Amino acid sequence: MVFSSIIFMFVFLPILIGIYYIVPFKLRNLIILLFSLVFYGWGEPVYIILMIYSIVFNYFMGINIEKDKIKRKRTFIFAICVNIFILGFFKYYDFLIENINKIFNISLEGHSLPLPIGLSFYTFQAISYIADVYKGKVSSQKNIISFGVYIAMFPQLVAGPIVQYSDIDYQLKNRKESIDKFGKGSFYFMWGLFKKVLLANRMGVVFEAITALSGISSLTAWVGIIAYTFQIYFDFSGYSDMAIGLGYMFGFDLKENFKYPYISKSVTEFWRRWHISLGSWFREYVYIPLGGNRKGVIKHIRNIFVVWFLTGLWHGASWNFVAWGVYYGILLLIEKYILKSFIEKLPSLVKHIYTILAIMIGWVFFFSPNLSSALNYLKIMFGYGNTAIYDSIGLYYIMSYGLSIILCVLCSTPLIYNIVIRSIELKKGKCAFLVCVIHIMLFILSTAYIVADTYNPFLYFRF
Amino acid sequence: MNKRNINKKLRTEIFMGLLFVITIFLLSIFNIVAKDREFSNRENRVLAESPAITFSSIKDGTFMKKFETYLSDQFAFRDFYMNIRSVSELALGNKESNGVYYGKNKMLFEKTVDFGQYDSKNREAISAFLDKYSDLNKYMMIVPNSAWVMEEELPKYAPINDQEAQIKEWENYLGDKIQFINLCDTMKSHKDEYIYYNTDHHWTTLGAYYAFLEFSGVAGIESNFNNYKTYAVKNDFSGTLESKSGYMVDDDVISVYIPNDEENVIVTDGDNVTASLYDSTKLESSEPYGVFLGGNSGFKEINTMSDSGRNIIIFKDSYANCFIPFMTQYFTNIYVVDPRYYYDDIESIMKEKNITDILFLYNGNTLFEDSSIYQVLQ
Repeated sequence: MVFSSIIFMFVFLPILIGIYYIVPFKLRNLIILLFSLVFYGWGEPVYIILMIYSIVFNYFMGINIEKDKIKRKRTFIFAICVNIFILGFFKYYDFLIENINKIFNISLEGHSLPLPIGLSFYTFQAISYIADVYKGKVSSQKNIISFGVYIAMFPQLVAGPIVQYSDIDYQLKNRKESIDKFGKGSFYFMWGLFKKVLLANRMGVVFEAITALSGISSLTAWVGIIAYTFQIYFDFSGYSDMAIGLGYMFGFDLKENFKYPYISKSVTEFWRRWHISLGSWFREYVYIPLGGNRKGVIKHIRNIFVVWFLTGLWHGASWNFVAWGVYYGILLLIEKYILKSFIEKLPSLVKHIYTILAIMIGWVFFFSPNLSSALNYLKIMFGYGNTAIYDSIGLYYIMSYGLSIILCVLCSTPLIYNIVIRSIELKKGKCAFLVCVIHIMLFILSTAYIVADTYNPFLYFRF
Repeated sequence: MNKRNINKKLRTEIFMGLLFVITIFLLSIFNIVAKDREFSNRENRVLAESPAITFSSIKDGTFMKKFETYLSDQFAFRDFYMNIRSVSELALGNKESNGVYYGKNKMLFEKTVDFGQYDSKNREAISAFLDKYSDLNKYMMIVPNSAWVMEEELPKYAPINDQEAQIKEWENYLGDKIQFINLCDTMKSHKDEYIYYNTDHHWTTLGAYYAFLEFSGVAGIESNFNNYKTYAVKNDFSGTLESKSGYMVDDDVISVYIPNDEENVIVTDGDNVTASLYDSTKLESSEPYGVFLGGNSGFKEINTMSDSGRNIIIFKDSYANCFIPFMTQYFTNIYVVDPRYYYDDIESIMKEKNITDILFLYNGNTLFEDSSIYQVLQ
């Protein structure tokens, strides 16, 4: 199930809210767990079994690691391996076979199974739990229902944010729901829905139309990459906002996953603002265990490349994602070791332009099916070879979606949020009332698009 | 933030929470209360019904998919939401929806198409077919679509195919095997008249008549506009472009042209024999354009009062349906083949019916993407 669907908004959510707030507190985690399983199974019912297996397996592993002081290391490694194996089997097996076939020139068959929804996300959460228990940061969760809620909790199940166990341990038993928290959640949910349905989906239309064309001009290629840049941001951050909002509605505090990444002044800053929960996960469970930057330059460079190779691979079983990850690894190293003092002296505007260009070039690697088509697209963007500077298609999309692109630019900055907060703080209650009504109107507008539109994919479903 | 501001923010959040819950519960209740509709006039299609629950359909997920389609199709006030979306899209500057352009003067245009994958096969098949009947009169008309004819009415910079070049390509390919009647100039010269519907992808009867004048010049027929009386048979025609795109524009008028001299015809369509070129029951159906010849079918035979002795076979798409009524005074028998729905042998008709004339009549968009002509002519 996805949040931006009628079944979720007008069947699943009202029923859940109704039941959740009627039952006594003791039963609330059970309700969340049951609804989460329904939510998960709605798309691919068979994989509920995998989800339940994941919950039960990691539950017992956590307890074992804590209890058995002698074998704890062995259990820890075993548990990590099983989790990685499941992820590897469903997500990377076919990719591996494909590469083996290429190298040895043979033709083994993959399994071609569909990727279980959210597997990449909840596997990482499971690993976070096992590692946190192993390191003694938290004690193991004795209540399997609470643990099930951590793994399967529907708001962040499908596309994050990736919650680290130590952040939510306490909340699983001792959270407080309240109507103002619920309202805060509503703000997040409606704003996220707007970003997803009215910004991301519409940019997606432009991007898909442009990439379907052949022989495009530089201008059109730029419109295409701009559209994609906004699509992926609003798609993913919209989903995160909805997840955070739903978390609030049921008393959970989830951490912010995006902090206006496109206003960054360096690539390093961008990764502190983009998909924060994934970055912190890799930092916490890969980069720091490997020694981070404290073991000399050579090891630091190695660690950076390991993390960014894995970050790329996590996004998809394909070489273009690896290229995209390594590209960022290289940029971050260059920024840290070579250009640091140089970049700092540049005027702000230049820093912004440099950063957003680097990000957009990154997205070309990200969306292209293979490296040669990525390079080809970049060539067109920068007018290399026989490319027209502009054509009427490019102008047409600017005429049709220029206003929307401006809207996307505005929503990529904290400007609107600041105006809203300032006006609530400074002006009278009227303003607050207006903000609420505008949110409801955006909600109705988003609903209209969902009802009328068939185009509603989530980019991050592939991961 | 001081304490007052915190209070203000808190109150805002409480208000928002209540408003949100009320909204989703209200919309959900509307959905429970609202009765299911079978058919949407707005979208011109049958809406999904509630799917049956079975273990296997839940296990493989088909129930869930169908249930979501059902919810969306039967969403209370669905038409209202569709209107909101259309208005919002136009306000944001997007003038295209589902392959339909929203033109400058509240007119809708179907996007033009590239040559499809069977285009060259169709050309070869037609060429071979013409070779077999070199001694008959053969004509071809490819009607350019409204988007090309009224290009300046399209949204600015809207991409469009050069249909004149596409049609020319066909003309050159068939060469002197056929008398090619190029309608590009004709349609362009009448573009300010009501020759295409605003809400539908067809041409109007007037558009067909201008084409018929061109045809009569080549086919040795004399026709005069004064020979006909026009009757508007539907004033609130809302066609396929409107339902496809979700845009709302002014309704169209369907007119029929009836000859002044009384005429009798017999139209045979399978077992169905009628004495009229028009099926008025279609006017109130979901496809009012079907009033002409009762809509598309694989094969129709029209016997007329004409004593010209000419028997014509027409290979056509739906554009021909409002064109054919002009022909009845000049051809004794008219055989109408729509290759999209025709699965029988053509050779036998050609032999048995004593055919004297062959006409291919298509609009550009249908012809270039057609995948049936070569199969029928083989």
